[in-house]
Amino acid sequence: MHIYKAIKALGYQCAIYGSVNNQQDWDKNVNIIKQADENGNAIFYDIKPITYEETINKLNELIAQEEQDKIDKEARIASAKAKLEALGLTTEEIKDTFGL
Amino acid sequence: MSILKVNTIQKKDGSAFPLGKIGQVLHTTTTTQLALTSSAYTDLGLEQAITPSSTSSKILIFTNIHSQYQDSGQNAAYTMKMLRGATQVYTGGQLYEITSETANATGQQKDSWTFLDSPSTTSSTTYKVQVSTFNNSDVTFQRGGFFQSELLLMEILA
Repeated sequence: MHIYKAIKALGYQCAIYGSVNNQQDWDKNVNIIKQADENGNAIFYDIKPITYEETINKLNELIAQEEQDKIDKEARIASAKAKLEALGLTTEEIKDTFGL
Repeated sequence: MSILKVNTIQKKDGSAFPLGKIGQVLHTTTTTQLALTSSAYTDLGLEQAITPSSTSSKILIFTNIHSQYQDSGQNAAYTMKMLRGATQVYTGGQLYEITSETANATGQQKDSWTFLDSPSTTSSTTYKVQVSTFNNSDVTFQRGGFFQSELLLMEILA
């Protein structure tokens, strides 16, 4: 997952040039957009309103949530499949009809 | 081997001999990834200076932009602005030209624009590309540093 998703989740828009693997990259490559000027051009914050640390924490939180969502979805699919099998449908019928 | 050196070449009637219409060609590229999540225009990382040889020259501009949509929950789209110094040669409108057809899009593509500009100067002038995403959607340009965007300037003599 790209770090811009964490910045967005923290409520900010950004322009990131290159990669962000550490604090130095964060300082150099990440621009948090404050607003647009009268010509529509981006104005960046001189001092970023969020830190590298809190952005990484948010990123880890989003990754964990994504993993949990995946686990929850697999559990729901397994549950649905078990219920269909309990109704008497064969594995092939469930696969062909529902794609499970 | 002989070398022929002359100051000017003229036709029999004394008028200038046509030497071609292309004055100069300048080309620049970038592979630096830009991840943008804003409708505010931001530098793409493509700019090129040119010094026209005559005020009557035109500048033919070609630009190719590599992009990838990585959005979720809405259509992703972007547009671009071409600047000559602070002057807008072209600015995309409210209807963004390059758009994904569906939400949750992850497609990538290369889009091209062509402009003909009349800078009316013989001073060095710099052309620059900026981009903006629709409704703060997520678009990555020159993804991963593997893909390239280009800007080519061609001086067309009068």
